[in-house]
Amino acid sequence: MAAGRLSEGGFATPDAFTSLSWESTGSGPPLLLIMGLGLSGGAWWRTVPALAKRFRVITYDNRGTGDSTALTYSFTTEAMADDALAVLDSAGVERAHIYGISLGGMVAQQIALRDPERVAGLVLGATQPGGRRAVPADRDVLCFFQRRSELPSDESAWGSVAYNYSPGARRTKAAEIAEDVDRRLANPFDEHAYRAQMCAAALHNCFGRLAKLDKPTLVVHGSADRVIPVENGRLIAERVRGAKLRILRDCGHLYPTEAPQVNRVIADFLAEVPV
Amino acid sequence: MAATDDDDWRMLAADAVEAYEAGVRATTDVQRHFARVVDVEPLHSVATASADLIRDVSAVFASRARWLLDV
Repeated sequence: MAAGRLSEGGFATPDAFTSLSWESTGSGPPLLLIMGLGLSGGAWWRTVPALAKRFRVITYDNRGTGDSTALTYSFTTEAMADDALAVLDSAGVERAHIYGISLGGMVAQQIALRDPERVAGLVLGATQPGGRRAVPADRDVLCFFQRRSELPSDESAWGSVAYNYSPGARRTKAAEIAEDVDRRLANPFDEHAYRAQMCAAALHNCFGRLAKLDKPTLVVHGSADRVIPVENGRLIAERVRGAKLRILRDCGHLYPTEAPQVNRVIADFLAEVPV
Repeated sequence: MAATDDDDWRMLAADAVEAYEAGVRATTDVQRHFARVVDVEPLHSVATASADLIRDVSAVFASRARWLLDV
């Protein structure tokens, strides 16, 4: 445990060509945050201060995002799980809580299934189990995300607002959304890494194995999520034994901006789980 | 009864996919260990890249197999 440690960082090197930038904030039981499609670890900026009051929060940049570099990209959630574990190794953490959002939630499922001894509690945010029964996004959303990497950065970031946030948030939280977009534009992603991550999300398939998952699990999902429909959150919660489901009413995909109060729910849930 | 038999076969097939994954992981772990011990280029790079490639290709196979089996 990292008592007294406030802020530090480093680079994990899972192979000779790969360097994954990570940062750790706060002290307490370790909590690894895994970000979703095309976003760097910095995109957790709203969540880290809230959770770092009670945990040692570790964020990192997936390959091709932020300060992480690699010769090849991760085309599967299995490969991304290996990267996440390399980050834990580099941070000197044997066992941690894992919280992943969207594609990060798929990576978190892989870690919990494959290396359960390294996982204490699990939080799966706005994610899907994969397989035939996962519910895909509607056609407009899929078309946008498939051609997003071809768009100029600002058009891509602003264009995604209609899909990532609920109509209610777009009316009442315009300033917060603009802050999110500014942060995203400050950390542009590599087009090839983005495509690789799209591939990883499309190939992800943990549906059947989730029934074997034996970890305290909290599933969080916005009821108005267009990117990964809320039915996926329900599917996961039904499959994972004893999982708790928290549906955030009228929230979209990027619920940490729309419902920051959920951080408290997550912290309270994880605080009950010994590391 | 037919449904139960079908479920049994699917679970067996799912177990086979898992065994395949575990075998691939063990193989790639050996390759990575070799790469760490023999830290000489180009052996190190070839072993590491090969391990990554095998992991990714096998993950794609496993994902597709699970899709077909619906497990």
